[in-house]
Amino acid sequence: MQEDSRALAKPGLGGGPSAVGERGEGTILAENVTKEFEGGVRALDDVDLSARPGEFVSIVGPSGCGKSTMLRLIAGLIPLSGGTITVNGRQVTEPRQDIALMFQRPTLLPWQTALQNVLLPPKLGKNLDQGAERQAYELLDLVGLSGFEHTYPRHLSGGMQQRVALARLLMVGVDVLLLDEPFAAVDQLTRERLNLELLRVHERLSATALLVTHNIQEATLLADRVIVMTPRPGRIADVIDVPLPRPRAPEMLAEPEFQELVLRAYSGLQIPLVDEGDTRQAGVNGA
Amino acid sequence: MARKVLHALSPMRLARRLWPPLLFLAILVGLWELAIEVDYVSERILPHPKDVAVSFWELIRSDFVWDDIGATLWESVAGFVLGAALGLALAIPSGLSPVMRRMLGPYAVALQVTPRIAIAPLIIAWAGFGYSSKIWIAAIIAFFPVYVNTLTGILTVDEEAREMFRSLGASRWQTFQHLMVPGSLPVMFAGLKTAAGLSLVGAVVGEFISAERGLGVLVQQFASQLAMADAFAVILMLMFLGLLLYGVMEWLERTTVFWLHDDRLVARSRRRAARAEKKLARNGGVPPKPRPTLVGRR
Repeated sequence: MQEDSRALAKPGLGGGPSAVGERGEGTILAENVTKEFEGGVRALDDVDLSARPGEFVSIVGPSGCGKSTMLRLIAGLIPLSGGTITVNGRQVTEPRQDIALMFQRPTLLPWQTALQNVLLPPKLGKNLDQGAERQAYELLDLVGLSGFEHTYPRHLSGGMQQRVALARLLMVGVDVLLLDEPFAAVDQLTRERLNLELLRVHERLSATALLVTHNIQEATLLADRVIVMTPRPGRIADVIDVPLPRPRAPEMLAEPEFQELVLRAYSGLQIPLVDEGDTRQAGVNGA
Repeated sequence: MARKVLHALSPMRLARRLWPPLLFLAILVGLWELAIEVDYVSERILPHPKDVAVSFWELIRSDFVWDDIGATLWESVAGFVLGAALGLALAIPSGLSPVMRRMLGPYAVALQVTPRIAIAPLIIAWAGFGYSSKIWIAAIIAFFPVYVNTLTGILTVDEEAREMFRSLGASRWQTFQHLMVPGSLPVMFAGLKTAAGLSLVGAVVGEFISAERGLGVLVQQFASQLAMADAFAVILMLMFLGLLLYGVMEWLERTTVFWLHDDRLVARSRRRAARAEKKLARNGGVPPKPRPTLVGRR
């Protein structure tokens, strides 16, 4: 019943996103996910995770907590050891066209121009036409690279290369964007700017975004929900709703409400002085 | 383009670039001349540099030497092509399939550690005294660097790029065509360059053992007659042949692996931009209608 009333209420929000919501595009549902690598290393242990269409979810945690593994599992790049992952109502068993993964490094092809790199997905999908080309121009403009369409990656800065990678990701036309520390390779200032651009792009699209990072401020500022993970084996320690209004702005970093959320995330990570009981409770809260 | 070449050839720039190697050449020739003048070495063993130059000039004006140059050039080029083709033909399946790698790898290494010159007399026994035996010797020597470098190139293609291709749903053939081939070209070319030099070595070694024509034959004849100036002149010719092969490979590398060379990249960027501009103008200045896109869907 509740589900019905929500579905009815949605069209009132006006146009686009509700239509997407009804079709359930961009839903991620991961249940009891376990991943054990060869040699018995348990990267993920019984993790539940979900995202609503259009939602921006961040996963934070120290290195080795299995957050990147989680993304690769959702992308269908590596097989599960246990549990199920469903995207758009279909179980993930292999890489799919409706799920796109963005890597830590831009991984552009150095022998192709920015435009050619963005056109790689339609080229591989054998639907490279004038419309695709036009869309590539638009996306390069969207990420602030108009004028650099015919420049080769070697002559682009690290931040610009990462923007090309973002445009290529959006070219796939996906429902789910998986972002694995997408701006880890660029300097702090560029990274902050790229993050805000990512937000702007996300707000214009209807895609669900799942961002992996080890930067708590970044995770909180960008997301609707922050999932805090702890390592060995990877488990969810806390799930924090971020009720800040959108569009987000860097000034929000200074707000007390924001600080509180960040502190809660820190306690979930068990980094600073926290008593055991507190974190246990957070763990029960999880997912 | 033309202006750039002119700029590079301007006298001042040439002088600045050329004086260090020329100075070294002058020192070398001076020491050589001095060693003969003070009778440190006999003139019969080490000829005057001037005599070498004269021999060189007379040789290239003779009729017979061009046949020898042609023979050696043909043997090394054909040997290089054959060796490189074999190297590529075995390296590509080895790079793509671990089973093939385990199957071929040990024998490629065994062939490498065997002094391949030792096989040369056998090849001459099998393939005769003509060109084909020298071509095979050159090919066997040129094979290995191409095989190893191509294999390394394929195996070191960026893992994240492969994952990206997989996540985009690329087929095996597409990944090979659009990622593996271009991705392994830079390392492959390092092997091809080495192989080009080695194929000349192979051809000359083959000629030493048994041949009717070729610069290797000439060096041997002149040396045994103690015609040292002539022998040195032939070695100079071999050097120029080597430079020619190296130059061709260098040029091929710069055009094929253009993305490692700034000047080539800039030129290509400009060309592509101009072509895109023209295409836009052809459409009457109106950009083609966009496909329904994700952008602005919300």
